[in-house]
Amino acid sequence: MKTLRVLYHLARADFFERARRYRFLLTLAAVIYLGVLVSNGTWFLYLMPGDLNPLSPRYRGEFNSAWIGTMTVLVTNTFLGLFGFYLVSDCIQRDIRTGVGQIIATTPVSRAAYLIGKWISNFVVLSVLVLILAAAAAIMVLFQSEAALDLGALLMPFLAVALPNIALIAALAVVFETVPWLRGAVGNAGYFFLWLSVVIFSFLGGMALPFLKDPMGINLFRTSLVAGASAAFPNETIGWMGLQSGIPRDTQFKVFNWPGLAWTPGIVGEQWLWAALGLGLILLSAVWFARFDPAREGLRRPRAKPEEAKEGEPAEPRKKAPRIALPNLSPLVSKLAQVNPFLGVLFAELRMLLNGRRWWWWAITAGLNIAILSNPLSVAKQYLLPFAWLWPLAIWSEMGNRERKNNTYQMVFSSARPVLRQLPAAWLAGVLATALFGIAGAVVFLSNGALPGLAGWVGAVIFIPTLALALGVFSSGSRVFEVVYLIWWYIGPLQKTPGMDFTTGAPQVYLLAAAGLLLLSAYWRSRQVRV
Amino acid sequence: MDSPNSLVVETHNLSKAYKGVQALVDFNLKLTPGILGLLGPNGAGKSTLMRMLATITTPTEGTILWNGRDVVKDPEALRSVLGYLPQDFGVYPNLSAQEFLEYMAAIKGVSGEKARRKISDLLDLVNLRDAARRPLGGYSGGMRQRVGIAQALLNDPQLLIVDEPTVGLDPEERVRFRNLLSDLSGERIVILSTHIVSDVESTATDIAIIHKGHLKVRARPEQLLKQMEGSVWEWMATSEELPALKQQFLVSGTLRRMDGVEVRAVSEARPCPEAQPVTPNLEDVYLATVAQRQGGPL
Repeated sequence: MKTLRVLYHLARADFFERARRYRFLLTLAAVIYLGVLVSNGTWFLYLMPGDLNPLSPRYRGEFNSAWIGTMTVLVTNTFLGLFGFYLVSDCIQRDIRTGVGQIIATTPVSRAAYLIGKWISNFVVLSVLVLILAAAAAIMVLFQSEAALDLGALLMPFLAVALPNIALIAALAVVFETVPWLRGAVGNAGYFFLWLSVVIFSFLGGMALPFLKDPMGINLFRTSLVAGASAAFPNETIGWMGLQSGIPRDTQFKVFNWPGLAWTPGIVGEQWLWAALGLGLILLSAVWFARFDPAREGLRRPRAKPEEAKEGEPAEPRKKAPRIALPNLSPLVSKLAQVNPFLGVLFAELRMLLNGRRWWWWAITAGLNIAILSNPLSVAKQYLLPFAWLWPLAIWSEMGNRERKNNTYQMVFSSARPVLRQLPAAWLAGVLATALFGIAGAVVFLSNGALPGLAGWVGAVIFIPTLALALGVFSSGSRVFEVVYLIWWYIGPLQKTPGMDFTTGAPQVYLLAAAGLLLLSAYWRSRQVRV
Repeated sequence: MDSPNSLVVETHNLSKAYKGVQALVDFNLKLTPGILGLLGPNGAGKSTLMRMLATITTPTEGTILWNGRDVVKDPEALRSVLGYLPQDFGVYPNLSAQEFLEYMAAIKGVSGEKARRKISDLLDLVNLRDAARRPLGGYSGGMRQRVGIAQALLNDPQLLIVDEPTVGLDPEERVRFRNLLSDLSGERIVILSTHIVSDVESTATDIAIIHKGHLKVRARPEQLLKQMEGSVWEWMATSEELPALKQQFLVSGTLRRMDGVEVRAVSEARPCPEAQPVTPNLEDVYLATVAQRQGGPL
């Protein structure tokens, strides 16, 4: 009983803290908009023939409660599966950042209870979003339905599939936060690839684990939908399911009646096993969770000034300490800054970007560049350069928000020309560092006379740090850039989707976009400086 | 619950190293009810000691005993009766003080009705009754500090550890807090770490001075002051003489006057013929102790 009360208060306080933020309101607005897109048919679920012939007609179910509920859940699971994680994965870091964690560490609350409380809070936050989408689905049934509202058929996909899925996501968010090195860009990138693998495996038929096959329910629903369509059109081969936005209005559909999945305790239990797995992972992570011990957490602290003792380090002996006499103060201007103040700031920003990386980070960067130089141009373009444009994610993600993250913004923003000198210097430092990380690309394009490739390389070198700087300035954090860039990188440089790939050919559009973003960043920073 | 007289915290050969750097070395201490004023320069090991006593971090070597029970092995033995106010702590800005204290009460294991009564009393005690429903994000630094003080007292702690508790408080609140600490100390152990020597002077029943991870001095304030008798001097000097005097003596204070500068210094011998012995205070004791350890005068 006592444990339940602790869990309730842990989750309640955490939920209120998040739900009262402006950012949560924006998230609600985004989810309501997603609900509108689902209910007005912008996001559409359909089946395709086995031969995947784009000219063949497609199939859809009647707009009944089961179909609309299922479609909404598939959209929900796909979107919340990715963005839900990034939305909620800040609960432990917040306790570290605010310092509340070190008070919690002195209380009798156990590691497991604390983590379960955070898990419940994450789950409640995501449940609110699921509830909104369920309401959107109900509205769609009422306005577009080709059959009467059946609450059971509408809500079962939410209860049996969406909720256990978000329970798993809520748990993963907590687990990632218990590992210090998974809290930043590495964890965010790692989760993106985990999500991508799960989506791909689900579409390919689920994972080959006993019971645990398909957390998003994609394969579960596809099997039933294909069976329903095949029964309606017995002579046709139907094999694939599509979930697409902006499907052309004149697309021809063959309509069949799908009464919904035949829910059994086995199916429901199998889906809720994902939530149980989440709980298991939480309990497991309690084993290594450091409970805010600074010696084990590797908590990031502001760098001590040279004249101050470091945390936990004995003070440097001050010979004749009390006999204080003012030293002769000389201006703190480096030789570089004396030549040109902008160069001084640029050098400082560059050093700030590149400092602090371990030897193996540089070894991998060098290895990637050597591989680019020693492989054929086609291999370098297709596989190696895209990874060179992903590897420095953690460096780019600090741009534009380092001042907020380290709480130095009051000093930086009150220094000389924060918008006209410091911000452009930070941007140029990012561009130079990016050029350095992918320098082998420029060399191979030049040596092969591949000027379009070189133009794409220039586009990437300018666009990536500009995007990082702009999103860092706008959001005052690193996560927005990490999520946006990961998706963009996957669709563009890796999948080579036309229009999204900023590394190929004509970079004019991206150079223009970079110029616009840079101006917007300057405008936004000038507002921050004034505030 | 243990009776106040039986409360004892002991550390035996306590050491802590961070990546090879010794933050605390063979630290031995025994505390009974009362206020221990913990003094020491930055980086001396005070925060490390308090974090270990507060069960946040574990020692590299040594033991911490709470009423005979080893809290390194069994931290739960202490946590339910522990109140801790860290130096740098934050709050959830979107919760009100009432909600934040309810949250802290729950995780400290204080039950519903008892928690409500306690929160109500503490809000009065720290003078936050009128602001209790406002989001903490809008509080001033001093108000947040008072919320921190309130949360440390939620479980009626037998061991209260407070790190720089009066930072950010206005003079009136500082006096209130000192009085509160004095009232509390009769039946519990209070460890007060601060750089404000006057806070220690007015409240502490015991003083410990830590330097470079070692316990250098542990005594009652009156003992320390007695030891310094005849070693603190005051005299008038000119502004021009002051830099040289600071080089020559351990100057613990200066005061500008119409006819020059009144210099206060610690010295075993009379610094100059016109110097007069004055009553020592804890600041003199502290400066003299730290200076001795650093090879300065005395």
